[in-house]
Amino acid sequence: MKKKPFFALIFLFISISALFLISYKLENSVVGNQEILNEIDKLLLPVYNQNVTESSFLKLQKLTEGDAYASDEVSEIIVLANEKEYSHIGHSLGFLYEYVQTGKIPICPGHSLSHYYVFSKHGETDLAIGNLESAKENFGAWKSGVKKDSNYDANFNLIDSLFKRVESGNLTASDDEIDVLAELPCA
Amino acid sequence: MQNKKGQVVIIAVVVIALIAAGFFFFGSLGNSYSNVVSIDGGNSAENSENTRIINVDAQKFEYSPSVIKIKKGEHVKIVINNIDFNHGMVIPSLELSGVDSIEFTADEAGTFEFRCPTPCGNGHRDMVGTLIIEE
Repeated sequence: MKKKPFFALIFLFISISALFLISYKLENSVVGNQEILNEIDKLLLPVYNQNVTESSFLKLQKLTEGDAYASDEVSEIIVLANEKEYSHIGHSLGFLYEYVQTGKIPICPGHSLSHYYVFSKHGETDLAIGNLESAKENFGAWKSGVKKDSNYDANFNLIDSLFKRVESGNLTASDDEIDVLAELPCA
Repeated sequence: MQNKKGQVVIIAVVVIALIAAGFFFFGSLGNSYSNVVSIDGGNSAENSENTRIINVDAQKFEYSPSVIKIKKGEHVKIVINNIDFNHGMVIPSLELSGVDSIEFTADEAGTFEFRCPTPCGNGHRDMVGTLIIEE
């Protein structure tokens, strides 16, 4: 009989702890975080003006800590900033914005493949390989999920032919091909 | 009897604590949700009577409308409907940028160019519009 108050206190402690944890997680979540979206909004202008360095993204890096997709994306952005690859930063910021806004990870093998070439060019082998693997992994989902518009066949053939080129040992692509890849629609 | 009274007190404390925690929890949830709603220019506090909302469609390679006219002194929120890509918008002369929206007070009269900041294809450089702030 005396055990009942004890169990009630335990129950109370667990319930309140759980509510605090859930609340803390919601407040610190990357998805739906308006502060991150505002920061991306602000960064668009200096990126457009090609006036960004690694330090420009430190706040974004801090805000996305603890979220695997978002923090990886920001790490890549920082490397791209160091290499002055401004157009690719713009794309990555767009995808990050979409993820923070919706929680949906965009399926973009074209974008990943373009980053494979960009990182390869700058000797960032690990990032390059990671992007190539991501592109290969997502290609199937992209084929079935992307909008089948009039450009679909050309887009498909471009990605497919570049995969075959990489497999045959040819690791190069022209700047035009890289630009087109980076701008392909996501699924 | 004493024991029963003690149990009632503890149950009462548990219920009160849960209600308090519930208020705390749902209060936080409410704040998070209102943040998300304000992203798309929905019924947020920002859409007060003093803010003029202007909706602009953005798709390869144009803004529609491509000419926006406002009055000096107006507080404006340009809501960008990104149709095929996260184009966003920059107004370099006014040092403004945003993916989904740009909000500002038109302090200065003049004609200002707005552009797509995110390379989006061969017509990207032509994705331009004009903001006219009239006296």
